[in-house]
Amino acid sequence: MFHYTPDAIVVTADSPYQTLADLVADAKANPGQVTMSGSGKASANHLAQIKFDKLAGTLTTYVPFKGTGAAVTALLGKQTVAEWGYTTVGAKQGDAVRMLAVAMENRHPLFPDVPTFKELGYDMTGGAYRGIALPNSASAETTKMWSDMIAEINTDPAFQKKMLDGGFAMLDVDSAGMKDFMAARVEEYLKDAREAGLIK
Amino acid sequence: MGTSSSKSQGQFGSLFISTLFIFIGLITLYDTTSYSDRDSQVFPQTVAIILIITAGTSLITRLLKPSNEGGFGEGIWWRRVLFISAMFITCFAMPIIGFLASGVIAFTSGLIAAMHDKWSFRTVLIYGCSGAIIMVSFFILFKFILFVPLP
Amino acid sequence: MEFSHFLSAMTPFNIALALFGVVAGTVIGSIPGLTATMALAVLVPITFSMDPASALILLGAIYTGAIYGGAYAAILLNTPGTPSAIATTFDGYPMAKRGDGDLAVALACFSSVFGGMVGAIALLLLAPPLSKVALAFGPVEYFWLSIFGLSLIASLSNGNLMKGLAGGAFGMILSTVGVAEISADIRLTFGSQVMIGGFGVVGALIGLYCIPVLIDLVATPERHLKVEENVKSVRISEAFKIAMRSKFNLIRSSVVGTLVGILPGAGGSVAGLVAYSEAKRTGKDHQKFGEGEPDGIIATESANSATVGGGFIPTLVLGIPGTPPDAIVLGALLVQGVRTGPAMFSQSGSIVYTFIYGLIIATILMLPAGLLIGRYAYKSIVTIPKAVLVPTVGFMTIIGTFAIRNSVSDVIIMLCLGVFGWLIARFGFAASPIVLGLILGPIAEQGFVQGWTIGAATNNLIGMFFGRPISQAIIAFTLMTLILPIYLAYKKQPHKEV
Repeated sequence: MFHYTPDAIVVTADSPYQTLADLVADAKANPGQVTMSGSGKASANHLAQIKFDKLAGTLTTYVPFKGTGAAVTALLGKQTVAEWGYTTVGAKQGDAVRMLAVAMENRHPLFPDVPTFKELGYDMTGGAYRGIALPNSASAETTKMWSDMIAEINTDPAFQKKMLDGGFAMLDVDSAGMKDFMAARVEEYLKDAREAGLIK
Repeated sequence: MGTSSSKSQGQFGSLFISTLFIFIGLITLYDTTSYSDRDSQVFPQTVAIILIITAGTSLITRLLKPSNEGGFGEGIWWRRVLFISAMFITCFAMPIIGFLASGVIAFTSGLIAAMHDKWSFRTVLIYGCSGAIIMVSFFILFKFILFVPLP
Repeated sequence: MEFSHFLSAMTPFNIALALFGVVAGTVIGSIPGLTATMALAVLVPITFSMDPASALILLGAIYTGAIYGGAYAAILLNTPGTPSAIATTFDGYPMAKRGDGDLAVALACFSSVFGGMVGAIALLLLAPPLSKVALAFGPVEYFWLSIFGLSLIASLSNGNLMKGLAGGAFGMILSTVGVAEISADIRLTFGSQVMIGGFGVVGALIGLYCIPVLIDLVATPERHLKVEENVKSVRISEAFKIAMRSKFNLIRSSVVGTLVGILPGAGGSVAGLVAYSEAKRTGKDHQKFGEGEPDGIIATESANSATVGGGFIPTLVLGIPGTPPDAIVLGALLVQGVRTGPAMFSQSGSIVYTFIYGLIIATILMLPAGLLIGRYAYKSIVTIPKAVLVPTVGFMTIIGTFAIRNSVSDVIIMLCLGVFGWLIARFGFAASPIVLGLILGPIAEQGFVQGWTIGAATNNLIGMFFGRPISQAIIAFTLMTLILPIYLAYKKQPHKEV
């Protein structure tokens, strides 16, 4: 894995929700009526929504769209009141949107004013992870070579700056650590998905 | 071609295809029962029902008012069969003998199927060569310029 | 908007790029199986070493050319070279069959240039306000828009109403095969790995439109297209005159195309359909549409070319691709380090405006280039002996379909659809409704499910689907489009079958 885009709740700049607490209050007062757009079903956005609902004790409605682009359009067009997106959305849309919280350990350098979910009392970090996959038939040397190459790119400060400016978050999991990383994620996602009734 | 309209080719064919569509609609409906999410059932069910209704209406109206419309029309059968089967064979042969070789099969059969005039040595030469040039140029275009991994 | 940008667009390098792009795009777009998106994807690496404005100009020119090029195969082979040219087959091919193929090609060129200009000018002058239109279109609007597109089936079917609707429904069922987008269910694959990818539009297009034509070409000894023996060049002025007479159609269709291009997710194919539907509904001679009516080509080609400029509006202003090729352009911009989105017009204004002027130049260049290439294309298709034309086109369908997803199974599916399409066409079931259903099905389904989810969550279902002003306008258009052919079918009931 070489980076991830941390989950974030995004609302429009003129939204009545100034903080995450506002959204949670609205969701508790009107269960099911807070609509949140996101990319795909049973995807990173969707799982984030499920997880948050569990942690906050709320019931929001997730509306799946075809890709983050469409989800953002829906938000901007006020089709939904909020979006489960990523920090990259906040970076791209600039002043048109406001992020209520990000799912990271520490605040993102690009958005020092946006609190993390953890700070606000919701233990969630994560997002859409991106990495490189090789066919099973690749040899151990090839795998290590790719893994090292990517790690090297990841340490390049110019590259790091570009990624951070775009709203991405750096992550380094090399080929050796992948197995545990994946196992942990699988366990986490399956648990959430089963609880939400996504899988039987 | 049939003589009486209720037994004509057009009649039979039209009824057959309408029935086929109804059948497809029913299969779709059956398949939706295996979906886990209500959301994914709504659309196929609605559309399948529309298919059954429209195909059914077409079926019924055609039964009530038989006509000669439709049918296979003029045309030489062996040419059609040759052309299409050659294309299918090309597909199955592609992973085995490679793209160009199977392309030759398709092209030659197409040539034979479409050629209604008599063959002469000259035409064989010209058509054969142009065919080869066409195939090779497309191959180069796709494989090396557009980077399509042709087998 | 300063004039200085226009001058920077006019450098010899940029003009050469524009010309090259238009020509390359036209050629690639005319090959069935190669779409505008593919043309861009393939040629994008060239732009990595250029400066952003020049890169954009090249990409925009390729895109413009490709959308136009799709018309050649549509007119001369009844196979849309790109999905945006589907509606061009309706009247293009009949025109070609009766010997007016060169007229059709010239008309397509004029209309494309005009439509492209309208789209580009809208981009230049009205981008920020028009981008708001993209935002106002919610799931429900998309749903009604696709229903409107499908109502075209009814008006196309000219007496075979039930069969047309059945074809459309069948197409929509085909579109559900594979992994569902709104949920993760796998539908209608019956356990087959191959079918998980579903029916690609381009493959189905080639199969349903081209193969039946080829099957019939081999079977009869007649020439493919009637050839007029008289002078060909006269037809360009004839085409121009016809275009001038249909000014209103031209303008209306171009505006429609621009607007549809602005909507993310709807591209040239939808634009062509909507424009065609409107042209037919308001035209003087409804019946002539579908049998070789020049106004049909004017409508579709100007509309689909207008989506080029229109599609760039949300792409540049909102950072959201208006049409599939725009996603490639966004990627190219990203590589260049150009940030699209609200900041773009202010921060990178010079790049944007230079590009827009370059797009205008490319569109203008398409006029001579397009007419020339069109003449050449027409001549070659018409003079090649059928014995060579058929295997060549057959070969092209195989290689073109393969190139979409590098899959032999796609080709086999294409052939099966082709044979099926030929079979049912013999008995009154046309191919267009099926393709339309295939394209519009996903848009309709997504719009419906999303709209339903939001409406149910806010306890406002009826208001959601019927209370929004844009939706109401679209519903009104749909009803108007439907009433005409139903009325005509009713009048003809005793004589024609349903």
